[in-house]
Amino acid sequence: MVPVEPPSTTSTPDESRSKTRNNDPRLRLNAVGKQYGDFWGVRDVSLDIGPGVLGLLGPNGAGKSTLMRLITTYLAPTEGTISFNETDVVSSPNTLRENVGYLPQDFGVYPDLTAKEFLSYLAAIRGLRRGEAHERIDDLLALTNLQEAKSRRLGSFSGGMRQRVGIAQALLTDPDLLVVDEPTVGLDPAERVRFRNVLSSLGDDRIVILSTHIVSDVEATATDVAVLADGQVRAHTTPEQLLAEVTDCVWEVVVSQDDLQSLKSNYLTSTTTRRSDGVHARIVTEGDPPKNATAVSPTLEEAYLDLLDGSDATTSGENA
Amino acid sequence: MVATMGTFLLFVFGFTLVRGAVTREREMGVGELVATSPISGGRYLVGRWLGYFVLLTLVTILLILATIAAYALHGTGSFDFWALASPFVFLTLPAMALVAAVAILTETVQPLQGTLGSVFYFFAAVAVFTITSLGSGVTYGPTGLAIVRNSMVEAAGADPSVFENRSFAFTGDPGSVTTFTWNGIDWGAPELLSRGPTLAATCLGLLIAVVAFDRFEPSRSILQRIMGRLVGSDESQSEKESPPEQPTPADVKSRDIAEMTLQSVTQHPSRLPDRRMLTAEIRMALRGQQWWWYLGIVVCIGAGLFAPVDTARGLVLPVAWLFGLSVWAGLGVREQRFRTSELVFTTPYPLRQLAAAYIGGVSVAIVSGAGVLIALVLAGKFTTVGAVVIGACFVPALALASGIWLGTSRVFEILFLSLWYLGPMNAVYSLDFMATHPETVAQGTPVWIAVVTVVLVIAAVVGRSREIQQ
Repeated sequence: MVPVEPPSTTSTPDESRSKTRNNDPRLRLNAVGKQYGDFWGVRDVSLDIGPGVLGLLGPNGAGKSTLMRLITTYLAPTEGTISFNETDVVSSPNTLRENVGYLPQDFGVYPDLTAKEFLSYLAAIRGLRRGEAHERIDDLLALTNLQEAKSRRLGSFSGGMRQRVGIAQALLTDPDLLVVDEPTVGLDPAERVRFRNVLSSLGDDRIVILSTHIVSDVEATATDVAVLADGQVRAHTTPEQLLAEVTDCVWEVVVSQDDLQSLKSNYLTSTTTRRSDGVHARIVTEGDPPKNATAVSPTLEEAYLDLLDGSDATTSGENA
Repeated sequence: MVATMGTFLLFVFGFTLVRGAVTREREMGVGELVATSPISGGRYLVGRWLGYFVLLTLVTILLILATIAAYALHGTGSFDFWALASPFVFLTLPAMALVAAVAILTETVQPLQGTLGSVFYFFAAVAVFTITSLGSGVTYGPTGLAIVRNSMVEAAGADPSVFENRSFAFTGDPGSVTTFTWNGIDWGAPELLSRGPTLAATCLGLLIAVVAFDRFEPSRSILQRIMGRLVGSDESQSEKESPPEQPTPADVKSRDIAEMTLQSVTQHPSRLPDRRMLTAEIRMALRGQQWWWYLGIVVCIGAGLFAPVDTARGLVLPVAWLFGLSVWAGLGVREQRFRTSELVFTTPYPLRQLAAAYIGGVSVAIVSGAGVLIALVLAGKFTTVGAVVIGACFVPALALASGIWLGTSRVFEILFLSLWYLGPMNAVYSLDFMATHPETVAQGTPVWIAVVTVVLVIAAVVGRSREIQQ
């Protein structure tokens, strides 16, 4: 297992891609840290982000939401600088606020308002003109499949429908920087796929930062990947590069139920699937695999687990 | 005496101190966890009532300790702990049990769950205290004021009827009064039994709360729940039999992303709130008001126009602004209460949203008092018009500042109601922020109200700035 080198300086996944067009948005974080009392939520985070979808991965408590809040100016960094299009956003937060769409991980709605009224209110406080706002809101309600429910009070919405309202409000202002924290939580599979497609298309000419636990969402949409652990960036690379780190290291082996525990204790096990001939387990190892193991193509999830060395991040489901 | 005053203060303000746990669980979604746990509604509410009662008991214990400390500093005669503590035990604690029960009641009966519950309680508490403190025979009042007074009258050897309709008072001239020895209340059966109605009211309040409790399930009305209990129907069974929620067309509809094109838009943010933003804030502030609220505002405007100008100023205006309380109570706490801070505070120039909310609050005061203001203009009382406008600026500033800094609307509610009761209604001119009495303007009260308003607005801006970038 070869861990991806943590970035020593400002991290870019591909230097060639940093040579972008002059009018492309650019977000730079330089040695950013946020301290809560004696605890550092994030520390020494340096990232250079251009157009595309950046998938931000990390275990629970890694500091992903803190980083999102710092980027969107909701929190002020304790140390370091954040600049958007070469303007410091701590001293001039409106430079970023005029260009950001933000879907927080945990947000509320006003239950007495309808979906359309809620979006109209947010459009008003973001400075959208009435005519433009109405058209935009209609488009977004269609995009998020909420047209039929637009006149229902938000208090009666399901969790997934509220999440779609959150997605719609993040896109209200046609932002150059879209920051979405766990956006697919609560969405049904069809809506999840739809939203992933939306993110992919939005990433063509703007910065999209997608924070999630769901590695498959990142695999499907991200052009770059950053892995955060213990408040620090462990890797900032491309999905291809991350996958290349575990090429020839992923194996599938069939074991009995009785031997499964022994296998798990000896190898980093990403998934297990029960079949009639036994349990099919996928393991990640640089050393010798068990006998009868078959080499398989790695997934981004396995590369991610390998990077974190299995500690805290062995969240893969067991497919019964 | 400390017990009497402490009981009165806790009786009126203890409600605001404890109320809110059930509401918080409803708003934060914890209620769903409670509703799906095996605990019964009755046990849950009694548990919550116990929590409120324990908190009020702790405050009562602090009052007892303060009384002992005061005795050590200024007391005369021999120290008798029971004589000092017994009024707290027999008068304050039963009153606190009732306060806790009413707090639970107003959190479970739907119409009383918001600001209306605070208004209802404040007036009910003041009315009950006033009625039960008038006659020496009304010993069963929740605060037991008559018991203390009767005991003192007896110790003074005076005719009890002389003290009818009298209460306690301070005087700055010790020579104008005679003294007598009072050894505290002699607690006999009549005194102890007089607490019975208060404890019975506590039980009744809790019983009504248990019946009205929706178990955090908002769709069923109180009538449906009461009928369900009366006919003994199995609620869980009836819920199982109800048809499953049909997916809306929006849920099943699928559209090809490739067909979707989002028109580009341009933001036009400015440092000052524009008309569109003001309209949005006012609409937001008024959302959720019932039809009778709008009717009340219309009636107040009409009454202000057509009533004699002194009546309009002294009666219609206070009533009109009482309607505004539910709107102002949401200022400053809305984003925290509904967890929309991250959405609102990351917008360009977020302080202008605060300005818009403030102007919206002032507008509600001006519009609800519009009839009175027009009548004052027609009567040529322009100074009073200015004083009323200052009051209209003061109230939302107080709401915003207290909401932002304290994170709750309850402090504003009790502050407003106390000021409203003391100033406009009881002619304490220095607190008459509405300028309902001619003496208020003559004494220059609007000047200091204006100064306080400026300080409160600055406090609100500073507080919001801290929230915006933590």
